[in-house]
Amino acid sequence: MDFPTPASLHLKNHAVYENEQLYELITKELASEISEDEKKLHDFEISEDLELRQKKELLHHFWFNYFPKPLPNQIINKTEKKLGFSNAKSSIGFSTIYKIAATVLLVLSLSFIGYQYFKPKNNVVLNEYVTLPGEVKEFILSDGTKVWLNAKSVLIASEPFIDANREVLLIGEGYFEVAHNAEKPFIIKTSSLKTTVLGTHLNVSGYPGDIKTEVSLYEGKVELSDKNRPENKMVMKPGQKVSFSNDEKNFYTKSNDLEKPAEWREGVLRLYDEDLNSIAQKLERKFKTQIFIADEQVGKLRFTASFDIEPLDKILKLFREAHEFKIETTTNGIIIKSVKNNI
Amino acid sequence: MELTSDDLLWFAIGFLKNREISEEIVSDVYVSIWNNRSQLESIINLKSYLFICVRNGCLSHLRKVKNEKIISIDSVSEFNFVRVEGPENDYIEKETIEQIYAAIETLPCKCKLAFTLAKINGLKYREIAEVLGITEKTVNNHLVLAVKKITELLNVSKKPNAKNSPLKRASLFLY
Repeated sequence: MDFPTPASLHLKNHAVYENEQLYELITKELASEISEDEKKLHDFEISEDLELRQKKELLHHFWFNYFPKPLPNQIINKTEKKLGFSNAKSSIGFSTIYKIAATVLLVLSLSFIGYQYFKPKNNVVLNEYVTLPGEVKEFILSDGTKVWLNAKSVLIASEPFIDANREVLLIGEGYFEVAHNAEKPFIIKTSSLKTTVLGTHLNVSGYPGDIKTEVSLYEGKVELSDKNRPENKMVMKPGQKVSFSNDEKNFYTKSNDLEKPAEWREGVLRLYDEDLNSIAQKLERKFKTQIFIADEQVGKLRFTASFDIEPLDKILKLFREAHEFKIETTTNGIIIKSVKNNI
Repeated sequence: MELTSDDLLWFAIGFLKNREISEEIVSDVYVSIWNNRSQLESIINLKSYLFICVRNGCLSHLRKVKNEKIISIDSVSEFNFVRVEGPENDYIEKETIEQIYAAIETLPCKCKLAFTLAKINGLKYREIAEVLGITEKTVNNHLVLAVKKITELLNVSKKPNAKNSPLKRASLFLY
């Protein structure tokens, strides 16, 4: 092994055992099971044999670049169906009774306030319904429409609704149970999308900065239209979820993909194949914090998960189980970066 | 190396050659994992555990369908290496890839299984040993056999356009 020998000679000079040993080194190298010393030996041995080295290069390229195609599959759907997640019914428990009581109280107090407010003056007022980060609140509008606002959202409505339409402006995410009134369509405007409904249950999500506006329809029928080009429109059917891309102005429809209506009202955070950039924004809103994504690479990691009571640090740790990344906690927030990024 | 549903799905397809049933088996595995989630903490290596679950699902399916006495992985006689795809316009010729496939096809079943788990799923020797119920030494032997077979059947020097490869050209300069 002191000086390179021509390939043919090399093979003759080596005992079968050593040849066998070289294949073992090559295999270990491919399977990333090789130690540093073995690697040195491998590199040396293989540099001695041109033909073997060429073959090894090919095999190496094959090993690390050839993989089966991704298979679009129904595994998650099937699993959820088998577990009954898609149509799970919650039994009435203590917390539900609590919620009903709270709702009744809220209705009573709101109608009292409403009476005080509107009856004597009968003036139209611009009402602003606001939630802070980490908050979810339920409101009842003057026409009886129930609205739940997700964290860091604003709903603006001029009430009572005296115009031909019941028009509201939404910044953020809301779940609407619209009181039926065929004569006065209910219109939800977000920055890019106009959603016209008569009386239904639907969820609208259009936070500023999001690349898309999402509408999920649970009951009834609604019409969606591009706010800037009203002729660009579509009619949604129940069970559908439509994403409107704020840049391309296109509608993407997904059917049979709806979870329980607006689970965020119960504090559930459900993520389906979402990238970390958009997840970080959701976590910021839910946990009143700031999350900085340090590099592009880490922002592109995708996750599917759902959480209900887990604290933020637990959630991030669980994500880290799936894809490696670094978490740094500072006084101003949390920094997430790739493992390879050494800055 | 991360593990996705695809890995488990392809593994099941290797046994069953049927995508529909394989999806069913992987989702059954997920369901049982969910139902036994309280015991998950006692599992040391979740990755090999998942492969073992899928393996068992496939075996019991084969047992039902083939009416054969497939008791353990040792009685399985057939496993298919999945089709793989490389980069577009790759410098490796299609023929060469076919040569590699042909070599893999000649391997014994267990050897093909070990090779698949190492190459496709990036499992460590220890994990492959757990999944196949053999020793690490045997895993090593299987893999060395596979690599040797492929290397021997590869035909590089006789190919006229072999020197198109930048890697090969570079290596020629060294001599």
